[in-house]
Amino acid sequence: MTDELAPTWEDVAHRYGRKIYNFAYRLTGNPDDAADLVQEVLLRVRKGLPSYQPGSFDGWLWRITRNAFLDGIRKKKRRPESALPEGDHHALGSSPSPDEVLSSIRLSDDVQSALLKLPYEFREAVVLCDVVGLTYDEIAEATDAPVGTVRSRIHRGRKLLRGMLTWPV
Amino acid sequence: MIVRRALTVGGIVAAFAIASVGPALADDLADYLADASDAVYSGRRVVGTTWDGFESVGLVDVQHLGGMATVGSGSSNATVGEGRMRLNGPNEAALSFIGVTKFDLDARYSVSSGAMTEHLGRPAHILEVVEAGFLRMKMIVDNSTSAAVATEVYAGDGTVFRYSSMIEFSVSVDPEMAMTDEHPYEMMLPVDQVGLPIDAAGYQLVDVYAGPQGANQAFYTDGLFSFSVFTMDGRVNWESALDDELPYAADRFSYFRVINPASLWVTWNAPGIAIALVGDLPPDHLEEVLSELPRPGTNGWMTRMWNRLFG
Amino acid sequence: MAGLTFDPDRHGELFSAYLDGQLTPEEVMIVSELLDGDEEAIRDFVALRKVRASLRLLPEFEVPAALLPDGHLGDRLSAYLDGELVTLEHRRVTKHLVDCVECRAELQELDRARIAVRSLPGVETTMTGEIPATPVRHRRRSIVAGGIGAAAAAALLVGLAMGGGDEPVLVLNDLATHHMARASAEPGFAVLPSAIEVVAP
Repeated sequence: MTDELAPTWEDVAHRYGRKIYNFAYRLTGNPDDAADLVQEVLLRVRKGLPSYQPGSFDGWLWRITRNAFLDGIRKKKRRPESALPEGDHHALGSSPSPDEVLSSIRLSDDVQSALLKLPYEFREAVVLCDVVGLTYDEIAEATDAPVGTVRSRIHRGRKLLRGMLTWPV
Repeated sequence: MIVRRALTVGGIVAAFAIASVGPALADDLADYLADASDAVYSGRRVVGTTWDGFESVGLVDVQHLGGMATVGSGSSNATVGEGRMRLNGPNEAALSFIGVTKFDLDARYSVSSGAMTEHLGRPAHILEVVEAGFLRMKMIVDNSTSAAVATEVYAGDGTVFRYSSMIEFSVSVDPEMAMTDEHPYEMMLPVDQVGLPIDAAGYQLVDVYAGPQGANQAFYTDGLFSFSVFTMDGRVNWESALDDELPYAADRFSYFRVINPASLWVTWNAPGIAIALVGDLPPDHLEEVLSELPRPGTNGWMTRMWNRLFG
Repeated sequence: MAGLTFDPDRHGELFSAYLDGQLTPEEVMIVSELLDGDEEAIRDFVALRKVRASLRLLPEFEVPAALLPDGHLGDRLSAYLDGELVTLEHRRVTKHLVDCVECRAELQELDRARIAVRSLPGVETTMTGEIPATPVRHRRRSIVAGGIGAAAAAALLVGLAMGGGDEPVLVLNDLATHHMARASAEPGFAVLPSAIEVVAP
């Protein structure tokens, strides 16, 4: 691996920093956690770049990001948030009251709070797909899960979100 | 502090009280290992290895929670689990193995359980791990936590090779164990194969990593026991290097070994490379594994001739 | 495939994947067929599309500027001085130092502070105070305060005898640490007591 071919740490920071930040922000709803994650990921990328073997860079980067995120959660709480086993969860909350009907101005806040109510695996899959913009294959590589599982998680996440959100007719 | 000594006749006796066979409580070793990983407990554990008349024993404080264990002795402690390790104390380290390739338990192991018993006054039962008709390991499993409160691993001749026993046991853990940790982890990323066998005596080469100090780390496992083979270009003067090393002959070849309470280290020079094997495998497995790794030798030509004639 | 009945769970997943452009041609045909006149299917599809669109329309925030590198070396200087950077990064840092007065000044400050600490008795040092022109092989400290005596600690250090040139060192305890960390990812870790060698050598 030569200097010219390998991205530098600065390249990674400038090119991916925003996505990493938003990944963490959407997963946690918390700008401080998001900032922490960006720092942690860049640190790990810096350390890992020298031994990085050319391959799928995105896959490698998002694996690091995801692991850093989970490590951060582990250090804070010893268990990922809402780690419900996949097959085993029930409808979340009750149906929205009239007060919770979305207006276009509050839309993103409500989507964010609904996202935070999803079980972790679903939330992560949805964020990687719709916020970060990874393909199913890239998500599968990042999360170490089969593509079929990724597909299912994305759908179930969206379905649950749909149950929590309503739109004006 | 680890105590190493040569044994006189007598050796170790572990107290496994065998009653009549009771109901099967776990018929799948993989399931049991998963349960054991989730056990929540703390205490003190004695661990020891006996091998060819030598014994190495140690005592360690343990906290176990959520697949992670904090192990401590004096000023050092380490938090280990799920591919991550944070070592605190005089020698600091923080390692993380991401992208670990999963490997299933080798089909040669089966487990049977029964025999209700007790350990430290707590109800427990015995699990026996059988390897192709041979009793390889016995565990006393605490009924309420699923912790393995005592274990024995047997060498090929049926003698006890490694044993452990909780001498203090509690179902609570120190809340400090969940404290946050500011340090970054050094990430170990898999690299390409290094020319070691993919399969050695039933152990599979799962991943190779760029290891410490310029060595490569090839990780082998059979789903229960595991070892890492560290290889580095050049030669190492193993004989004068370590005080605790003992000579070790396997199948007419000469190695050195260090016997630790929970692991063994075997070191040698093969033609052009220095090798160190670190792992917890029993000695009969070790001999077979060594026969499939590069053998000790100085000169490639001589070694090849020797192996061809006598290997 | 005539007369498909819409099954929200199974087919809903197809709709989701269709929206993401992740279906095979055969699956796309199933989706078209389902959407052809089945009211329930269409409602489901539209609802999913709305959810997905809401997610994709979420505003994307800028990373706080403080988190992004400004091109200077910052805390890499520390690692550089400790010889902890591996070759590639080490060369980059050296190159930057050659061009950047600010970072050179910062390096000298850091270095002065370290030398002051190292002149205290009992602290081992390998520092020369110069910026190495070529990558430095790092000699890992193995002296343990308290627990082990110097002799035993030296016993853990293995010298690699090579003809001329650098002398990298291999610390056996380091290997045990690496093996332990990796083995902890395996199921057997729960029942094979370990790590004692790295905390109580």
